Parts: sequence; structure tokens; C-alpha cells
Amino acid sequence: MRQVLVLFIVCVLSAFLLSFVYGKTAPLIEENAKKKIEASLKEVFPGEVEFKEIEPGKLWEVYRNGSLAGFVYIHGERGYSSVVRAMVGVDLDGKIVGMKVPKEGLSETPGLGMKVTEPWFSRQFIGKYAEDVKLKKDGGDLDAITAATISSRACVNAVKNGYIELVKKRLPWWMKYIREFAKEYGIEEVEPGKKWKVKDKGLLYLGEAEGFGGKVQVLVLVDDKGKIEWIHIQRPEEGLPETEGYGTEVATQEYEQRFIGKSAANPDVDVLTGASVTSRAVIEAVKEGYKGGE
Amino acid sequence: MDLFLLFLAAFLVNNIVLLRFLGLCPFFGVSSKLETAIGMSMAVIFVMTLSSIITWLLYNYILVPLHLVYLRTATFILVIASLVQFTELFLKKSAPALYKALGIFLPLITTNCAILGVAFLNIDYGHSIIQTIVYAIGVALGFMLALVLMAGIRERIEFAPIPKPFKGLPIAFILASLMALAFLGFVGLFGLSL
Amino acid sequence: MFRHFVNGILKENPVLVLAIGLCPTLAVSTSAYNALGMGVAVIFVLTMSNLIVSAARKVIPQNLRIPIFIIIISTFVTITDYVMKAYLPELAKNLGVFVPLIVVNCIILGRAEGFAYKHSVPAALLDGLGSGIGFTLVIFIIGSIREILGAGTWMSIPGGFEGFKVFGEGFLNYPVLFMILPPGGFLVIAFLMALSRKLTGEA
Repeated sequence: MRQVLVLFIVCVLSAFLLSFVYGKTAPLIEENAKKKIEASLKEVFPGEVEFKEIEPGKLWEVYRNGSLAGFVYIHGERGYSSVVRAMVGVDLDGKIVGMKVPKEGLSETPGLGMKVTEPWFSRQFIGKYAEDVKLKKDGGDLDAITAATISSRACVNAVKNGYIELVKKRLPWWMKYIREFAKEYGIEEVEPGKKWKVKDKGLLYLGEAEGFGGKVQVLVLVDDKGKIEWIHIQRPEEGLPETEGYGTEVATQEYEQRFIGKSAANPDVDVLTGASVTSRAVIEAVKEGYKGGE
Repeated sequence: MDLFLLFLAAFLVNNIVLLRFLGLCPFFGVSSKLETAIGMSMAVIFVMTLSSIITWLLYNYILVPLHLVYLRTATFILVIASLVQFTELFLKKSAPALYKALGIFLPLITTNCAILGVAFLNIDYGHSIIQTIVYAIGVALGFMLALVLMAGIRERIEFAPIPKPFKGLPIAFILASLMALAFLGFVGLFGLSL
Repeated sequence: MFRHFVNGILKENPVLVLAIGLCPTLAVSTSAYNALGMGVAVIFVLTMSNLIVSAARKVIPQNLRIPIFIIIISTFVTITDYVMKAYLPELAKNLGVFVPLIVVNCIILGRAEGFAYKHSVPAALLDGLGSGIGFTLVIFIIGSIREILGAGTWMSIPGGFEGFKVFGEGFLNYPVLFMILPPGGFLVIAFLMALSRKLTGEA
């Protein structure tokens, strides 16, 4: 009997001691884990930013001064003898602002494939569009690691596919037009997500108004006199919430043509029969975005 | 297919003794004779599989819901110690010859870091109960493979002219080094890695 | 009395002579810093458990002693595990599953059963320290050899010091990788064992 009592006392003492130590150390341990993740995220998206986890371990939204500034994602592709995971920070244009390949869990050939973790390799990615990254030998402009093509390619694919699978669909539909203007003329952000200045061309803005099935958006370029130079109405595949066959008839090049040359403050464009609500919404959107003009 | 790869990894590519350094004490202690090596392996297979299952259940259905995760180390080792005691009694009754041959090494399975190690790894890897069973059996068989191979070689090396300082354990370690080198060749099999 | 302390380091060195505590020795000796960290952890657990077992040896019943030793040892191991995770997270990550595995380190159970249970507190304390230091010494030497040859650095500390580049910067590009991998570990121990036998006059 006494023996069991001794055993019991030992167990109880042990449990007490352990729960005490656990109580003291658990918060510290959690803090350490959080700090580590933050540090990694900051490495690939530097600056005065905050991170919001969207998909645990895979995707974060990056906010600067309260508005969305980009994304950080982690994606892996099969390499030579392990999965090569890339941690990438991209801005809203899909341009890479930082990239690194974490050493944990990476098991490529030491001295060869493992070199994907080296700074000179990841530095190459900065400034490139995540969707277009390619090795020189595949027609792009990134140097592979000598004698470690498979590992290098895996890394490139990880960056590209991760972008396509995780980020691309979260980017606003109008992003690709902004990118094209940026590529062709040069662009300056006036109001993030709303207004941009296009070099030598004028003001580009996003307008929005309530349509039949939801908010309708338009992207408009006006010259400095407020005349519409170019317009793009949100297409159904870009998220236009209007009725198929009726409201969607508005989202065509033909209808867009009618706006060219008109005044953005009050575009004198006919409403389409059978799609009056949507047409009016588009006109409203053009006006709404221009209000507060240049 | 995934389960097969898991088994293969546990058995060869991540061989517990030669590449993950668990279970070394019995590995060097029992591998001088083939017979005891086989006996020990059988005991290990039994204890490892059963203990992995029990500790997995204990962790996921008792410790976690009751927020007692920090008692993991203590409870796991107690489960294993009890299981070994039970195996000892069982062997004593049903296979007394084997019981005698294993001698001190049977209770020593309790301190076989491979058994406790695998219990921890199942949790750390987030295995399901099926994966736990496959993994434990794979590891135990990998242990047996290494042990039997080692015993086979050691029995013969007994008669070779080994320099005095190397006789016994040191030469066994050199053997282990060569075996580990050989097993490293399995890395990359089906895309599996260290 | 002092004899107990010295014994653990030379004549009865747990790793090289008794061939126990092998698992952590091989697994964490890939760098001198890791080895040192593990060594200190083991010294702590070994000394504390020897202390408690010896102090309570009159009340611990004979036939329940093993489970009680285990509970005592696992308590200190868990404490070490959590304190390390909180204050030295990089080390904890490097040592991985081998920190909780200290509980089955044959050295600790072996000394508790073979010595602490039957000796006074001061003697048990010295024995614990001695064996622990003996273990740490060996594991540190192995770790240093493997790190210097296998990575070109010595005492590199993750998140801090990069380590002394013993053979110069050039060596870092093509170190003897074999040393860091499992076969290298086995080989280093083999030679150290043989060496220690020659030195202590056993061969």
C-alpha cells in the first residue's frame, strides 16, 4: 500500500512541476514561432507592412497603411530528390519583390541543387513578373545553377505555379490592363486601386456603379481635358455580374467604341434596349470614377 | 501508393538505425550473433507496432483534448515500459528459450530510443492511425534488416585479423559506417529523400 | 569521493567505453554547438535525477523503482525540452526529437539504477556531473571533428556566430560532406573508441 502511495505522490509532484514550467514557457514558445514566421515574411516583402494569413502556411495578404499592397505565397514543386519550396512576395502587379528558398525540408544534392538557397540565385527573381519567370535555357532570362538544372527549374516552376494557383485569381480583373499601360507608357499610382497617372496620356481610373446583379466596374483613360481616350467595360469572365445575353451585351467592344471622345463627366451615350439597367450602370460608373477628376 | 512509399521510406531510405541514429544501443549490443539478432528484432517489431498504436490513441484522444500535451514524454515512456514488462512475461511463459537468450536485452528495449522515437515521430509527422501502423512496421522491419545484416557480417569478422584497439565495438562501427554509406544509395528511390 | 567524478570522464566514459548513450551522440554531433547544447542538457537531467533519486532512495520502494526513476527523469527532460524551446529555439530545432529522447538515454537510467540509488547525495551528485561531463566531452569532440571537416566551420551558432573558418574560406565550397552524413559519424566514433582504448592501456 505504502509503495503505491509513494508512486502516486511522485506522479502528482511531477505533474505539478511540469504544469508550472509549461505555464511559464508556453507563451514564449508561441511568440518565438510567430516571430519566426514574421521574420521570413519580411524577408520576401520588406517595408512598413502588415501580414494577414489567408491560407495557413501558403498565402498571406500584405497591407501597407491599411490597403492591400501585395501577397506572399509559398509553393513547392518536385525537384531532384525533394520538394523545392519557394517563398515569394509579389506586389499587386504580380511583380516579385522578394524570393527565398527556405533550407528546412530541402534535400537536393548538397553542393549542387542545394545552391538554390543561395542569395545570388534568388536575387535574380526580383523585379520579374511571377507569371513569366523562365530559365535562360528555356527561353527566359534567369541563370540556372550549373549542373543543377532540375533543381533550378523546380524553383522557377514553384514561383510561377504558386503565383498562378494562389495569387492570380485574387488579383483584381483590371490589374492586367494596368500592367500593360505600365509596360507601354509608364504609370504612377495616384490612389491605390482607384486612380493612376499614365505618362503623356492622362488619367486612368476605375469607376463603379450598381448594375442589375451587382457592382459593375469600368476602366477609363481620359486626357487632361476630361475626354475619354480609352475604355474597358468589365467582361463576364472578369466578374461582370449582369444577365447573360442581356446585360452582357453591354460589355462589348462595339459599345465601348461609343464612349471614345465623349466627356467623362457626362458621356452622351445611348442606353442599349433590353439592357437598360446595365447600360445606365456603365454610364454611371464612368461618371462616378471621374468625379474628383484630376 | 502513398502508404507504400511511406513504408519504403521507413524501411530503406530513412532507415532508422543507419540513417536516423535511433536504436543504436541494441544494434551494437545484440548484433554479434545472428540468432539473438533475429529474436530481438521480433520483439522490437511487436513492441514498436503496439506501442505506436497505443501512444497515438493516448495522444489524440486523451492528452490533446485535455490540454495535457506536456505530459507526452512521461506518459509515452510509461506505456512503453509497461508494454515491455508484458512482453517479458508473455515470452517467459510461451518461449522460455528465447527469453533466456535475449537476457538483459529484453528489458533494455524500454530504453531503445527507436521505440520512443517512432512514437514521437508519428505525432510530429501528423500521421493518421493507418499511417502510424504502416510507419511503425516499416521502421521495425528496417531495424531488423540492419540488425540481421550486421550480425551476419560480425559473425564472420570474428575470425579476421583485426588490430587490437579495433576488436569488438570499433570495428562494428566501421561496419556500420560502410552500411550507412550503402543505404544512402537508396535516397532518390521513387523520389524519396532523407 | 573525487574518484567518482573522474571515473565518468575516463575509465568509464559512457560513450567510448560503456557504449551507451549512442543515439544522441551520433545524431546531434553534426556541429560543435549542437553537441555542446545536448551535452549541457544531459548534464542537467543526469545531475538533477541522480540528486533526487539519491535523496529519496530510502523511500523509493525496491520493486517500483524503475517506473519512479522514469517519472523523475522524464520530468526533468520535459522541463529541459520546454525551457530550451522557449529560450533557445534554434538549438531546440536542431536537436529535434533527441531532446525528449534524453529520457531513454541509457546513461541516465543506468546511473540512477547503478549508482544513485545506492549512494549518498554528494557521491551521486559527483557521479552525475562526472558522467555528464564525460559524455559532453566526447560528443563535443566528435561534433567539432565532423563540423570542421564536413562544413569547414567550428562553433557556428545558428542566428549568430558564423563559426571559425578553420581551413579558410575556400574550403567552405568543397568540404568533406561525408563527415556530416551518417557514415561519417560512425567512422569518427570508431576511431575515437580505438584511440581511447589505446590511451587507457586496454589495447
